[in-house]
Amino acid sequence: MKNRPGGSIILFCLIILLLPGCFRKGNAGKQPEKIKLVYADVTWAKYDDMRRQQMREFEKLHPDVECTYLPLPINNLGQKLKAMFEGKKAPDVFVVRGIAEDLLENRLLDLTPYVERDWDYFKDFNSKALKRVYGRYYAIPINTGAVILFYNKRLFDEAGVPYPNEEWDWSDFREAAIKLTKRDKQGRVVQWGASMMALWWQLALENGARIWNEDRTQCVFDSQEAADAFRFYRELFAKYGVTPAPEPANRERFRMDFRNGIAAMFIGDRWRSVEFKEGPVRDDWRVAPMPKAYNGSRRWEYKYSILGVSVQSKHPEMAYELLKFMTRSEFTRYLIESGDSIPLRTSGEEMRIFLDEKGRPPGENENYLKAIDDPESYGRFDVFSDLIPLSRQMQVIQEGSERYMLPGSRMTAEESVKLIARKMNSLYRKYKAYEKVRDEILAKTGQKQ
Amino acid sequence: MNFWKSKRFKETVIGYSFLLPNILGFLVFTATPVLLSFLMCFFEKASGRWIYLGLYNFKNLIGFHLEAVAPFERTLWYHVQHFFFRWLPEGSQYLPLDPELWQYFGNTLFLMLALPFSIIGSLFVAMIMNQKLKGRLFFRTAFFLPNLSSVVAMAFLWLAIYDTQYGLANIILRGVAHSLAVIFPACAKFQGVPWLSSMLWAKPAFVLMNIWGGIGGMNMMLYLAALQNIPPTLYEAADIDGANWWQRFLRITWPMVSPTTFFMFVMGFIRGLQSGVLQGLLLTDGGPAGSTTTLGLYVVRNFYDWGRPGYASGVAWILFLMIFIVTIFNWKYAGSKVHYE
Repeated sequence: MKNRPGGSIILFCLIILLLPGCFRKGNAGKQPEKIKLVYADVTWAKYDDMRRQQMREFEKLHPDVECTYLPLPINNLGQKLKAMFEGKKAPDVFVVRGIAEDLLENRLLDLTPYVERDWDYFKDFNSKALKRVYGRYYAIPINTGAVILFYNKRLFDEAGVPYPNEEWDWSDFREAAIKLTKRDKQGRVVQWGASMMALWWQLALENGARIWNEDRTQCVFDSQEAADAFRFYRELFAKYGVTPAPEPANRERFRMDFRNGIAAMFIGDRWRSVEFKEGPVRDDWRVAPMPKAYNGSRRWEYKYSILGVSVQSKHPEMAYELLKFMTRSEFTRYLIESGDSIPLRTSGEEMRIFLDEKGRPPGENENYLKAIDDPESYGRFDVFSDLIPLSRQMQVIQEGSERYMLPGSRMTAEESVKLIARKMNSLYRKYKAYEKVRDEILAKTGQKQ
Repeated sequence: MNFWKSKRFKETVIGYSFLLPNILGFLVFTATPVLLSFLMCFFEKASGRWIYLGLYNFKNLIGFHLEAVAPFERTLWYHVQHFFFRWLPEGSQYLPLDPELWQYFGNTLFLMLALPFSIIGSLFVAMIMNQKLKGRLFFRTAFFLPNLSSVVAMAFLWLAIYDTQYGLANIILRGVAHSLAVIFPACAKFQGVPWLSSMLWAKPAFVLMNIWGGIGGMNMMLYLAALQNIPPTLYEAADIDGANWWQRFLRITWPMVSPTTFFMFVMGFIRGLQSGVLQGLLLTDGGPAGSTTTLGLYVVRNFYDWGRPGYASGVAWILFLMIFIVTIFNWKYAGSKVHYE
């Protein structure tokens, strides 16, 4: 018999192609298909189980719905979400990284009609977290935080330094940090006075600087206030050596040094307390209001995690219900008790639990509320341009400030802020020109919304 | 004879059947994305739709415009422009519409400094490994290890080595400096090199890392194979003529391994222009001040972080053109220096 390997291969391929068809189930006698919803959020071992539990509870309430929780790694969250949207497989409910970027990419469903319909449910929400963007509601908060000064009571006691208080300004902070820094015989630091992440632009804003002008058409960061704030920060590590240099490789260390009890102060948000509750510092950490600027103001960022509903969702109404379900008191209470969140609602049971948090000194948690309620406090969307992606603006500020801050840099603080302003304005013109071209094309083709 | 029943036809079908998986893979995973990325250069995504922009992305990538610059920004480039273009107003200069592209191109070229060192280093290591040494197999395996290890693991290893205060590199350097302090008292003040946090040191730190990765691994194996292919009779003849080690290397070894060197050079150039993405992301996030951002990382940032896939494709195609031109140049000029038996 003749060998026919070519024919055999073709036959084999055909069988492979046809085989799945033999096992495909027919629709006859099948129950109606369930509504499938996918919720994607940043994975965190502590919360992944809770989120899965939330999905099961939502399914109990809505037996026709099947929910899946999709945990995503924080490091390439943007890439993952982008790939899902490009592949038309976007999750129905997802964590919003930057609202401007997501709107730019047309990912977010306008939730205004739903929120207005359910206003009785949302009326207690903190208005700084549940807010309109371009006059519409595009996302709903599930978690809020505020920047605060953490300090190690034991290290303060050992050094005989008075605890931070409401009246502290940045010179008090620096003086305390100098007293709290300890070195060994070779001059190496064994205890840091403070451990500060790269809070360059935040410090500048507190000092009275602004990133953009009133109508956000021109970057006005090239101010003396911004330069002074930069200089103050640089001196902390370069002149006084009381905080580790803001090296990229130190990113994790800032928080870990405080957690391990080798840094006396740390500036961070409420979310960090989850870790501090469990680390070696667990019995010693306290919180205090952020130091005031020299002009007496206290102007800090408040943060929030927000979720949105995808424009690609086939069941937007149900996706919105799932989102709303996740903001229910019984779930947000868990976030508050674990130390992760500040209450979403301004009154009620959540607030009581928060103010009487187990294991914390009485009255301490009011510091967070004061930070959020301060009329000067702001969210990123309030201070950055909505034309340019936030991460792009951050990159310009980071690169510009590093030219002054880091070892080997030759710029002065004034030059650094001027460079940032010039680059931002250049970027603004570029994006504005692009927007014009884009709108003209969209108008010509009748696609403009 | 009927062609469809001929042996030739059957052999052709069988041949193509074997090639089919590879061709399909190439079409789906290489050719289609390449074609799509080429098309994307002329488009941009806006409000969820693709809009045709023509050459707009390229204009923004390689175009220049006149802009006022502060005195501290006036570099040699400013003075050169004012020397040639007398009409330029004081304090203004032509700046690229996308200055970052050029900065990151410079970074990419700088990081490629590792290429000659790693080629020479791997030849040197291969020559040692080609000797009849004790434990030769162990050393060959050890030198090949960087090729088998995950880039992520390697990046974290180097992160630990480069740590300013506790890193191995600075512990050694501090030890040396403090020993030298007996002769040079100023050395006692040395606290370490800010490897990854200084604009001055971050790039050399990356180059060192790349040299380490390039010396062992595949380069060494290729050289080892090339060395073993050199006929021993050539060395025997050289010995009879009284040639010393250096003459043997220069007149026999180096010309005989030149095809391998050329291959490594061409491939290293191509890889070098595309490199730096993972290292940049894992070690420094492209910093400090963008000093370790390469063109590859710039493509990733534009595509994923800043929502400009069309623009990112434009950068990728500029990168491709560079690679293409350099490779043609290499084949035409460097290729002529290669000795083939």
